[in-house]
Order: sequence, then structure tokens, then C-alpha cells
Amino acid sequence: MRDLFIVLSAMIKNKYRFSAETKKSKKVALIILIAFAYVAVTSYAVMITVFAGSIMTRLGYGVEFYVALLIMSAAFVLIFGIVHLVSTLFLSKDVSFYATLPVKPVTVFSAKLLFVYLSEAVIALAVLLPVMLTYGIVIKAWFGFYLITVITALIVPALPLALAAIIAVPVMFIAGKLKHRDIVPLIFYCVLFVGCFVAYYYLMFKFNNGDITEDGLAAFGKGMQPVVYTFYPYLSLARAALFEDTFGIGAGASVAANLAIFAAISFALIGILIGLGRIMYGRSSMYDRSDNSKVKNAEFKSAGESKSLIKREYSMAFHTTSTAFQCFSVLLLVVVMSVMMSIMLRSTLGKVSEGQLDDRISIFMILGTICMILPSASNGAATSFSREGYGLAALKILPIDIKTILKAKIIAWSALAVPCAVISAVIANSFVFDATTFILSTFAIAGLCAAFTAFGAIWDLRAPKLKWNDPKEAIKQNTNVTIGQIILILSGLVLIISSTLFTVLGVPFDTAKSVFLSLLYVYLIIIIVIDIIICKKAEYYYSRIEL
Amino acid sequence: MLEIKNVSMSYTGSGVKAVDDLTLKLNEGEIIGFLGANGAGKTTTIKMITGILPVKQGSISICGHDIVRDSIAAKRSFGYVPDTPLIFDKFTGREYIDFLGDIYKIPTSQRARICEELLDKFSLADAFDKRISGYSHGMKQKIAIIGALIHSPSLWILDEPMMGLDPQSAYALKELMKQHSAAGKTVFFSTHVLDVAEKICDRVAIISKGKLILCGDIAEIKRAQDDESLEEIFLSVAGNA
Repeated sequence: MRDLFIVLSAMIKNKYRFSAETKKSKKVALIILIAFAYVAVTSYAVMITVFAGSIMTRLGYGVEFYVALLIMSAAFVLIFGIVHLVSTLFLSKDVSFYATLPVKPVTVFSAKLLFVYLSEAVIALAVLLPVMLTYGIVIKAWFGFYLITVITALIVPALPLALAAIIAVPVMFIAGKLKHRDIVPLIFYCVLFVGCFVAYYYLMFKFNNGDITEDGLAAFGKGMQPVVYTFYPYLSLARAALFEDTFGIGAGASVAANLAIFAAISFALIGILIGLGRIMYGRSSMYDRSDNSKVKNAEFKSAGESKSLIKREYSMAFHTTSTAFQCFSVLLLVVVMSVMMSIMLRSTLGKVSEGQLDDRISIFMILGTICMILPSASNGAATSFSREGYGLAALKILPIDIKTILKAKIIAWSALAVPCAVISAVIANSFVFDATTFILSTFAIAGLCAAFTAFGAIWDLRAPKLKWNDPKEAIKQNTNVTIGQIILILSGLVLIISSTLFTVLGVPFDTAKSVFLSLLYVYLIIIIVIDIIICKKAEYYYSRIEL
Repeated sequence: MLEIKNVSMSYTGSGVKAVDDLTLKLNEGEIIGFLGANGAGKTTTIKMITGILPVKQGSISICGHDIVRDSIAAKRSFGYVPDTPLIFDKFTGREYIDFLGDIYKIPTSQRARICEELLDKFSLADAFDKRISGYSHGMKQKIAIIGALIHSPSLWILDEPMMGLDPQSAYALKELMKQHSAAGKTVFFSTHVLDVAEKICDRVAIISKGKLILCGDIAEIKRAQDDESLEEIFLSVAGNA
């Protein structure tokens, strides 16, 4: 047991502790940003809970609402957990390190699994508890509600993690047999990511077409009734927390029975998770990292300086599955988010305005939202120097100036991000088609995306995070990404706020269009000017890097 | 060929001088060994010569090109083999050479000619089309050596090049260094293996605590030191550093 906690503690420190070189001001800034983002998202979720939870409970869909909240939390755990599970148990590079220590393999495995579980439990608690406790207050729940919710929150990740393991094991076997095995989990993660959004869309809009009025919520509750049985352990938990007499044996006895069902199924799922986890961990030690592919096209190929650098940039992004996921999946996220936002905002604004407002104005809110989420597409560019780590020396010795390197990095990521941005803009415009808005906004959004990408790369060059043990630290623990993106997201918020004001104040469509498009181009010009200013210092930034 | 003038270097946040007022000149066609204890400043010096670290004080020029002011031309003049191979795991050996060939603008025919000879010398032909991630340390070192020579540089810089090499490859490398200098080009390498330095170097430079404490022709140094071995000379001038 002592060894277990030593290994677990080492894993937690290795993953989450700030590096010794991180300045205190940076640590404080990062903590404030995370807290700010958390409070903003949680406040929004709490508001929805207060509004929708009270209505659905009054309509008799309290259990369905409770289960929906659990499913939402489980989706978070599933998305993050599957990456975490595979990277910690299967693709981890520390297996050989632990193998040399006088610690039993089962202890290392247990510590790894516990590490994944606890990390995901923290996510579940962070997402679930504020919302659930608010819901309890809204419906004036009995004291057992809080007790059950708080205690069982730690067991909630069992279902999504077991599901993640069930899905991951066959993928892992397939990946192990292929040449480009790192790409398989990446494709799989992307499919899962999109799948979760589609499921969300299904749940939110299939039953009530995104209507958050009382009738819409009633339709949602009714539609959820068969769905909740799919998540039976959560249904049992919801029934227990809401003090329902499910089995005709009295509420108290039903609470105990439902809790027993939830606990039994959850512990069985944890058993499945342990079993599958052992298979994954066992395979990781047999995982042949060498390339056993057959020789093909054994000829030298000339591609030119820029193309070679671009090819190298993509190759570097595939350094690990985790870095590839974080660089490439966000591109997909922009498109998916824009589709979701387009459908949701259009529908919601249409319902809220009830024909009194020109609902074509919703296009500006959608376009503003796309601008706000655009920076997330530049993850690859915004970490392009940090991900090099000390390997950046391999670039520094080459006879290429930093402007050429920057250009290659910007082109490499723009080539992926700009088409995604254009697709997003086209989708958004297809809901409310206006030729001028379509042409001008699509052009501006494509430009903004390229400008954001350039900004991300240059901003990262300013002070790249080169000291890391695992390349994903260069993305996850990189304040350059966070600070850069927050600046850009706040700018995007200006567009959204102005769009909201158009709607609230009932501004005519043509006036709104002129103001919005002007703002969009001012925004584009500002970003380009910033890019030009910081790009002038690129050589200085590059030369001062000490390796 | 290589001229280092009054170069000093302290890492940011550290008051200690890793390199202290170093001046050194390398001539064409010579092999020069750069010797020093661990932490003496060898790698820092090499990193400044290659442009990995900024030159904050003094100047370094390679084939007449200043590494700060005319860095691209300077970098075209040398090939560098680091102590830890700085190569890309996801590439195959051939893709890595193609990458460098594109950067140095080397025609594919020349790449093929140079690789054919060197792959054979280092017995790396079988692994050349496999991913570098599957290579051993020694194999990575070999592909880094091939990469450094792909553009036939005037100055060949190697940092602890013998580390991880099998005896056959170490021998092949020493022969290559001799061939390089015989062709009128310069080889500059750091090493802990004094026997190697004694056998193949024309000159040695010994650095201690960032300062150059001895530099000269090996035969002359030995004569001046009563024909002591290089090891004894090294220990007497840098042994307590």
C-alpha cells in the first residue's frame, strides 16, 4: 500500500505540479484564468439548472432532469477519460522506468488506474456538484439528496470509464497491428468527440427542437423517459436522491434498494474497468515501438525548403497521440461547435423573439461565436515552438532564418484551420442567407483564422515552454496558449455582446449588418497589425532562446 | 575556418560564466580536439558556434561568416553532430536525410551518392527506411553523422561523437574524420576519450571552468611536457578543475 501511494504521488506531482522555472506571476495568472473560466461555465450551468430544473421538476420530470445532469457529467468523463486512460495505461512511456523499480507491476498498474480514476472523479465533481447542489436547493430537496449526491459523485465516473475501457480495448488491438498506430486512436478520439456532440444534439433537439420554454422542456422530459433506462445505474441514483417510492415498498426502503442497485452496478463496472485496464497495461509492455513496416519507395525525394519544413511540422504534431489529438481535434471542434451554435441560437432566438424581432440578426451572434471559438483551432500553431522542446536545437543549427520557419509553421496550421473556419462561416450563413454578409463575413473569418494562427505561432516563439517531460505539457501547461487565446476570446466576446445588443435593442437588419461587418474588419485589421508588430521581433525572440 | 574571439557566456539567471573570454582559431585541414572535464564549457562553446545559444559577448565566425550577423551563410558552412542526436523520431532515416537535403539544397543524386558510401561504412542500410524511433542510441548517432555530412561541410563539429558507437563504427568515424581533414576541411570535436584525441588530432584545446588553458600541436605539447601522455598532461592542467 505504501508503494502504491508513493507511485501515485509521483504520478500526480509529475503531471500537475508547476515546473520549478515557472514564475509565480505566471502561476497566479494561470490559476486566475482557470478559476475565471470555471466560474463562468459553472454560473451558466447553474442558471440553466435553476430555470430548467424547477420547470421540469414541477412537470414531474425531476428524475429525467437529474439523470440528464449525470449523463452530461459522464460525457465529460468519457471524452477526457478515454484519452487519459489510453495514454496512461497503454501509450505511456514510463512503463520501462517503473519496470526497473523494486515495485510490483500490479502496484504500478493500480496506481495508474487510481490516478486516472481520481483525475476523472475530480472532473465529475467539478462539473456535477455545483449544479446538483443548486438543483437540490431549487427543488427544496430532502437532506438525503445532498448526502447521496456528494458521496456518490465519486462513483459516477465508474460508468463512463468502464465504457471508455470497453471501447478502447479493441481500438488498442487494432492500433497495435498497424504501421501508423498513433493515428488510429486519434481518428477514434475525433469520432468519439463528434459522437458526443451528436448525442448532445440528439438529446437537446430531438425531443423539443431546442425549445427552452415550458412546453419544450416538457417535451424534452417526455423524450428522456426511455433514454434514462439506458443509464440504469444513474436512474437508480436519481430515484434514491429524489426520495421516490419506486418499488411500492415505501420511499425509505426504495432509496436503500436503489442505492444498493447503483452501488452494485457501479462496483461491477469498476471490476470491468480493472479487468480491461489490466489487459491494456499488459499490452503496453508488449507494445513494439519499433517500425516493422516493409521498405517502400527507397528513393530520395526532393521537396524544397518550405515543403520540407511543413512536412516536418505535421510530423512533429504526431509526436504522441495526445499531442496529435490536441492539435488536430480542435479543428473539428470549431466546425462542430459552429453547427451546434447555429442550430441552437437560431432556434432559441426565433422562439424568444416570437416574431417581434428580425430574427435574421441571429446570424451575427452565430458569426460572433465562431470568431470567439476560432482561436481554439490554432492550438497546433500556438504550441509549435513549445512542442519542439530541446529538439528546437535541431532547427537552430540549420541554415534557415526564423521568418522561413515561422512561415512554414503558419502555412502548415493555416492550411488546416482556414478551411475549417470557412466551412463554419458557410454553415452559419446558410441558416440566414444574405449575399453581402455571406461573402464579407466568410472572407473576414478566413482572414481572422489565418491571423490568429500567425499570432499563436509568434506568441509562442516569444517565450516557448521548452522544458517538459511529456510533450503534452507543452500544450496543457503552456500559459502562452492560455493567455494568447484569452486575449482573442475576449475580443470575440465584443462581437457577441454587440450582436446581443442588436437583438435586444431591435436594430434593423441592414444597420446591424453594417455595424457588425465593420467591427469584424476592424477586429481583423487589429489582429493583423498586432501580428506585424510582434513578427518584427521574431528574430530577437528566436535568438534569445537558450537551450 | 573557425575563429572564436573573446567569447564569454553566462546563462540567464546564473552569474557563473560557462565560457570565459575564449579565443580560438581553427585552420583548414586540421583535426582539433576540444577537451575538458564535465561542465568545463565544451558543449556551451559548441552550442554558441552552431547558433543554438546566442553569442552575448565576443564574436564567432565560420568561413568568414559571423554566426550572429550572417548566420545562414555560417550555418551552411558546418555540419554538426550533437551529443544527444537531435533528430526526428517520426521520420525514417531516408526522410531525415531528405529533409536535410532540402534545407541544404542538395540534389537527390548527391544525397544518394553520399548515403550509399556512409550507410555501408556504418552498417545502417537495413534500417535506413525504418522509423528513427526504433533506432538505438548508436544508430541515431550514425544517422546524425550522415546528416551532418550530407552537404560536405567545410567545418565538421562533433560533440562527444564516440558515445554509443560500436567499435567498428567508432573506427569508421575516426577514418571519416581523417578523410575530411585530408580533403582540406576542418574537424572540431569534443571528447572525454583522450586516447582518440591523441591518435587523430593535429591540435588539442583544453578548457577548464570556461577558460582555455592550453591549446596547441599535440607533438609540441608533449615535447614541452617531457613526453608525458596526453592523459597525464590533461590531468596536470585540468585534473583538479
